[in-house]
Amino acid sequence: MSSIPSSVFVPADWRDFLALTKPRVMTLVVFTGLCGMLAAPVGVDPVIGFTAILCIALGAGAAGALNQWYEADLDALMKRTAKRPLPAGRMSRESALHFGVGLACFSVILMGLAVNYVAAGILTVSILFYVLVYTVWLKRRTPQNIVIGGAAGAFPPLIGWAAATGQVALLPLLLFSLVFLWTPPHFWALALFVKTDYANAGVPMLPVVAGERVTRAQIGLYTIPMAIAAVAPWPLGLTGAIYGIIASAGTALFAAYAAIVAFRHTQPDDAMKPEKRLFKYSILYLFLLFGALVVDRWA
Amino acid sequence: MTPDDSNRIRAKQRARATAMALLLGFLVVLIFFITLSKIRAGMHG
Repeated sequence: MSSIPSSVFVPADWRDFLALTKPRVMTLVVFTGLCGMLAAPVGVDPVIGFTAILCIALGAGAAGALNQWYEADLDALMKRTAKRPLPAGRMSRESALHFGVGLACFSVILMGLAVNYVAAGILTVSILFYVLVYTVWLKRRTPQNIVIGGAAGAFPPLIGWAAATGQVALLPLLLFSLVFLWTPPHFWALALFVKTDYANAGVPMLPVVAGERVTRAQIGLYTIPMAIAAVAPWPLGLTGAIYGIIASAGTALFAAYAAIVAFRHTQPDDAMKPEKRLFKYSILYLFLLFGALVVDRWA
Repeated sequence: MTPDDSNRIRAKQRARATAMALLLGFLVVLIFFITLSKIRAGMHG
C-alpha cells in the first residue's frame, strides 16, 4: 500500500491523458474525416491535409476527455468503463477538465490558422455538440440520447471535405446523414447485449427504458433511411459505380442483419449472437463504404 | 513518504516531461512545414 500523504501532488501518467482521448473511437473519426477529405474534388497540400486530420483527431480527443470528465461518476458504475483514469482515481477531475478544454481550443485555433475557418467552425460545433448536447443535456435525460448525439460523430467527413474545399456540398451532407442514421442501429445493437451495464448505471438507453421489442423495432426503422443515405450518392451522380455497387451490396447485408435483429425475440440464456454480429458488421460497414468512396474518387 | 514513493513520483514527472518535450518538438516541426506550405501556396496563388 502507498504511504504517499494526500497533500503530495502525484502527477497523472501521460498514458492516462492518452486514454482520456478515447483512442479507439478516434480511429473511426480519423478514418471518416480522411475519407471526406480524399473524396473532395480538389487536391489538398499534404502538410495542410495532415494538419486538418490531426485537428479532427485532437478535437475528437478533447470531446472524449470532456465527456469522461463529466461522466466520471457514471463510468465508475459500469464494468466496461470503471478502469478509466478518472473513476480509477489515477487522475484528478481538474486535470481532465484543463486537458480537455486546452486540447479543444488548440485543435480549433490550429485548424482555423493552418487550414481554413469553415473547417474550424464545423470542428467547434462538433465538439460543443458532443460535450454540451449529448454528454451534458441528453445522455442522462432521454432514451433518444444517441440519436441526436450521433450527429457529433457524423461531423468528421464534413470537416474533412470543408478542409479540402473551404465549403460544404451535397455529398458530405449525405455522408453526415449516413453516419448520423447509422449510429442508432450501431449503438442499440450494443445496448441490447450490454443492457445490464447501462441499467446498473441508470443511463436511459432505449432497451432499459422502452424494452427490447421497441429497441429492435427502432433498429429496423433507422436502417431504412440509413440505407437510402448510403446508396443515394450513386443515383444522384455524386459517385461512380464502384461506390454504388459496394454501397448497395454492403447495405443489403446490413439491412439483412438488422432485419434479423428487428424481428427476433430474446430466448432464456440468449447469447445475443445476431446483435453482436450486427454491432461488429456495422463498424466494418462504415469502413467499407468510406473506403469505397475514396477508391471510387481516385480510380 | 518512503524513498520508493518518492522515486515513483519522480519517474512519473520524468515521463511526463519527456512526453511534453517530444510533443512540443513535433509542433515546432509541424508549424515550420505549415509555414512552408503557406508560403508555397502564396507564391502559386
